[in-house]
This record gives sequence, structure tokens and C-alpha cells, in this order.
Amino acid sequence: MLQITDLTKKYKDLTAVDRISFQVNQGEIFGFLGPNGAGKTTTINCICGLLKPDSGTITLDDQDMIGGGNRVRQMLGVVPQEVALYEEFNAIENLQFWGGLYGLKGAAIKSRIQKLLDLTGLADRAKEAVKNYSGGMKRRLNMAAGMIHEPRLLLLDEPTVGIDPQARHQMLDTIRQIAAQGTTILYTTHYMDEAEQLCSRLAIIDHGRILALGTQQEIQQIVGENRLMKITGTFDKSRAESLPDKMKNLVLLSIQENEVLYSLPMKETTGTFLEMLIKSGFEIDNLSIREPSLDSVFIKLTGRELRD
Amino acid sequence: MIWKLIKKDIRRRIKQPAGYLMLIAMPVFFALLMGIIFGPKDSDDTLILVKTLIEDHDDSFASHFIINAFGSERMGNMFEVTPVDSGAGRPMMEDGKASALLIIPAGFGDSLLHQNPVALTLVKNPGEAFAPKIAEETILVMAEAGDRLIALTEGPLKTIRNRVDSKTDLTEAEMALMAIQTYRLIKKADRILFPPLIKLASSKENKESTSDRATVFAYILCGVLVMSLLFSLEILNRDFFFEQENHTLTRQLLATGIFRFVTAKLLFIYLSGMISFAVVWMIAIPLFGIGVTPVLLLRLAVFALVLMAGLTGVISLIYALARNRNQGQSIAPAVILGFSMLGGAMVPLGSMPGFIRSLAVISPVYWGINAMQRLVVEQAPIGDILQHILVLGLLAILFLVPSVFLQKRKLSQ
Repeated sequence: MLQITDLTKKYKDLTAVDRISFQVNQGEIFGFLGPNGAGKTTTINCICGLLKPDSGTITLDDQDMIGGGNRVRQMLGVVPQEVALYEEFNAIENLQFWGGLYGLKGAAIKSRIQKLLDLTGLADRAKEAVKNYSGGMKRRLNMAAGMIHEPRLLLLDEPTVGIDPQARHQMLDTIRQIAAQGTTILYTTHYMDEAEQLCSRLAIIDHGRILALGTQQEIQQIVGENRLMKITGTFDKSRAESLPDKMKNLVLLSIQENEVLYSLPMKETTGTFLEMLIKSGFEIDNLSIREPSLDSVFIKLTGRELRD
Repeated sequence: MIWKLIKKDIRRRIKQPAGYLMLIAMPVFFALLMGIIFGPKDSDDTLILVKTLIEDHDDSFASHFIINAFGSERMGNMFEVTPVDSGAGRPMMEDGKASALLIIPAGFGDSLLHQNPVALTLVKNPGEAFAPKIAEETILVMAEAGDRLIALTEGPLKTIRNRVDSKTDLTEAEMALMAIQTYRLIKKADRILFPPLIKLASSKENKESTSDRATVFAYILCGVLVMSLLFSLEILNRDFFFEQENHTLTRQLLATGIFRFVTAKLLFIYLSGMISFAVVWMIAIPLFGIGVTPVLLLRLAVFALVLMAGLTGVISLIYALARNRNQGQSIAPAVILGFSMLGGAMVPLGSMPGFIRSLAVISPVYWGINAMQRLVVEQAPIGDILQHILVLGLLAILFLVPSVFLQKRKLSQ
């Protein structure tokens, strides 16, 4: 469905997106993960046609998206990070306006609005000005506005940023329902748990490059059956670096002044590892053990946490 | 699609009409205010009544002459004179009961007879600006006139003075001689005094055809309106940044493309300006009693089409060049004030130095005001303002085209 090949976008000396390639299949929720500034929004803007890439191709159902004009762009729905609504309008007026821009009118738009209001749970407050809505309600309406014209591909750019856990939970439910109705979704986030819950396939991007791409299982293979051991405290750097020589299968992932990160197979016992740390003169302030997850994949690939 | 974007902006304004109504009310309010301040008065010429106290310490023919002069028909319109007892004037001045106190010293008349220097004392109320000055100037003129009179009547005065000094009465022969001398003197001055050689003929314009007040209001309204329209357009242009700040820009650009979005925004700004223009005149015409005919309304409508295009172009170009809202909001008002000052919206061009008057043509405000004044005040036909229409039309093209291009480039970045 969506095919991106060798996409590159530069801002003067900064390469925001560096020869990335991936494919989103019909009907799937594809996760696009990365920390802030990784290049996610730039990629989305290139897909939308709002930014012209320096090189590479983007096709949607074999139609070129770069310079494809309004006709191709209308196949897309975008839900930006920020709430993009007119606060003085009510939900119906907002949806009427956005639908109108895509040529919807008459009974078609009315029934579409009703469907979306039902889907997002806003039907009973549809005639109230948006300025009176809670953050979660605004987010849901924001999503409805992006879907008013029944796009073939919906781009969700961190739609849950800044909302409370309950509203976030509702939002994820809504996204699942949308996907169940057959809409293809490219879901951008820096919350690994959201990606784990929603996405069948995903790509991890950092500094404009794709670090990992595949199904959740395939990506988790990167860390395998390894746990991540993060130690914070006082230690001798050279001793910390030589520790993997003393323990088979222990891998040093990153080391900083007061923090060191190792990967340790599940079969190895934590007690043995701890004993070795103490023998090596570690004064441990904190030890965190992370089970294999997308988060740990990101840490293994980049040496830092996703939200750093 | 463009119409849908425009309709959305109009609905947004209707939902929150206060700001928009303020934009429309502004020119009417200022025109009304300025018309009241600078417009013609219904009352007669009298500007002010100068309350003057006189302390007469002399009680002679000369002091009586001064007091009577203040009471004459002409002076009486300007001065309200109150003779007060010796020493009573200053306390009354301190209480703010008068604008000036004239003190005629003892021996004043005697000094005049002997042609000795003598001084009148004028005490001015420091709390007032104009009235004491009027009193001072008037008394100076009277003193000057008195000097000349004494010089002219030197002969008869000498005779009187000798008699007063010797404390003897005038003989019949001396009285006859004085009468003849005075007669000859008056005869000599007759040509100048009766009637006076120079006459001041002051007149007012005929009030019968159009109302003075309405004309002044219309004249001022044209200037205030053009300036206010520019400020309205400035506020409307902020919408480009509003869409960005409200995050609604991206979604609109995605649905419509940049060119359509920019065009719709500029059309909305233009239409809003037209509505402001129409509403202001609809309020101003009955409010100020401006005489209008259907032909004049049609001419105004035709002119408004070009005027608003020119003004929209000017402000839109500033906003297209501005990198952010703050820059636009700082630069645009400065340009508007500059153009308005230069174009005669704030001060009539006739009151400005020659070099500024010659620069006025570079201001679109000048072309707007001048054409409107001709249409409304002089009831000129549209042919008389063809040059204005051409200039404003040219400005519209020169400014609107680059502003669309620059906005498009800015938004695509």
C-alpha cells in the first residue's frame, strides 16, 4: 500500500531523514517509533506532500505521492500531534468544515459525522463548543477530523501526547476500532507500550535512520532472551569495561560516568551478576532489570532510553 | 473549496463578533469625535467671556474712560467687567473669580494731562491660559490708542493742563479756540476715521445648500476611515499566524494546497474590508447627516473595490514578509501610521510642509482619502478620480502578487 524507498530530507546541514525505506501493508497498524527529533514528523510531512524530500520515492497504491497533487493527498488522513480544531465551533461544525474541504456534502457528510461522533463517543456533546471539551475529547475529535473523508491511509502523529491515562486508554480503543473497520494506520509514537499494544509491524527510527524494522517478534529477537541490567552508582570505568571478560554472555551496551548498561541472558542468574559487581568494587546506588521488550530493543540499539 | 475556507473564517468572526464590531466602530467613533472638536460651531463668534476686575484708585476722567471702554458694545461681548473696591481685587483673583485684575493707580489722569509716564497694573490669573492673555493684549492696544490720542490732542490738552495747574476756569475765548482746534483735528482725521480706511469684512459660507457640519464630518471621516481600514486589515492578516498557532494550517494545506489557502485568506481579508467600508458609511451617513444619492453610493461602491484591493495588498505584503506574528504586529502599525501621516489621514495635507505634500503621492492613503473626499464632499463624478483608481489598482497588483508568492513560499517551508 504505502511504499517508501530511500527517503532523504535535509535541513541545511542537518539530515533529518537519511535514506529510510519501509512499507505499510493494507489494513495494518504500522508503528513508527523513535524519540523526539528522530525524524518521524519529517517523514510524515514528506508523505503528506507538505515537505519535498531531497531524494527517494513515496508511493501509495502505486501512485506517486511526491508532486501527486491534491487528488493523491486526499487519499490520506492526518491527525497531527497538536489539536487542530477551531475552538469556537462545536464538533459538528468542525467536522462539517473539514469534510467540506474534501468535497463531502449533504446526506453523505451528515451520516459520516454521525458515525464518527458515535465512534469517538462525542455524540452527546456534539453541539457544544470545542473550547469546553476536555483534553481527551479534543484529541478524539481531532482524530475524527482526520478521518472525516474516509482516507485509505491514516497518519497518526503521536495522538496521545499530553493526555491523562484514562483518555489515552479510550484513544487506543478508538484506534483499534478504526483499524478493525479496515483503515490502514501509520502510527507514530515514542511510547513503546502503545506500539506493543497496537502495532503488528513497526520501524524504530533514530537520528533519521531506521534501526530496526519488522514484526514485534522479529524486533524483539534483537535483544533475544536477554535482560537489560542498568547500574547507577560509583565504579571504576576500566573494571566495568572488563566485566564481560569475566562473565560469559554478558555484553556491555553503554557506559557513562555513573551509569553502565549490560545485556544478560535470561538463563544467567542475577545473583551471580550482582556478586561479580560487588567484587569488582561497584558501589551500587540503583540496579534496574528490564525484561525483553521494545524498550529494551531501543536501548540495545541506541544505548539510551527512548525518552532521553 | 476557496469559498468554504472563506465561509469558515466568516463564521469564526460571527461566533466572536466583539473584535470585528470594534474594528467597524473605530472609524465612526473617531470621525464623530474629530468632527465635534474641529467642526463649525452653531453659536456666534464669541469664543470666551473674559471676567475682568477693575480697581480704580484714580477716579478721574481718564480712568472713567477706560472703564467705559470695556463696557462698550463691542468690548462688552468679550469682557465682563466688575469695578471693585480698593484692595478687594486680589482676594477675588485668588478665589478664581476672575481672569484678570486691572489696577488704575491714583494720579493716572493727572499724569496723562501732563504727559508724564504712568503705568497700569494687570494681575493675571495663573490658573488660566487664554483669558488673561486676551485681557493683556486688549489693554495694550487701548494704551497704544490712548498714546496716539494724547499726541493728536496735544493743543487742547495743554490749555486744560494750564488751567488745572493755575486752578482758574477757562475763558469763553479759550473754550472757543479749543473747540475750533478739536474740530480741525477731527476734520483732518475724518478721512481715516469716518468711515475707516481699512474695513474688515468677515463672512461665513452659505449654510443653505449643504450642512457645514456634515461636510466636515464627511471630510474627516474619509481620512479616519482609510487609516482605520488599514488597521482592520492588519488585524485580519494576523489570521495567517493564527492558523499556524492553532495547528489548523497543516490540515488545511493538506486538503486544499497552499495556493488555494493563501488565496482564500486574502479574499476573506478583502471581503471583510469591504464589509467594514460599507458598514461605516451606512452608520456615518444618517449619523452625520451626509447628503447622499444612489449615484454617489454606486460611485463609492466602485471605488471601494479598488481601494480595498490596494490596501489589502499593502498590509498583506508586510505580513508575507514578516517571519512571525510579533514582527508583523510591530512593522505593520508603523507603516500604517507613516502612510496615514503622509497621506493626510491624521493632519490635513494643507497644513504640512511643501516637501511632505510632494511625498504624499507615494502613500496609498493619500489616493484613498483624496478620491473619497472628492466623491463625497465635492460630489465629483467617477471620471474625476480615474487617476486614483488606476494608482490604487496598480498598487494592488504590485503588492498582492508578491504577497501571494511570498506567503506560498513561507508556508511551503
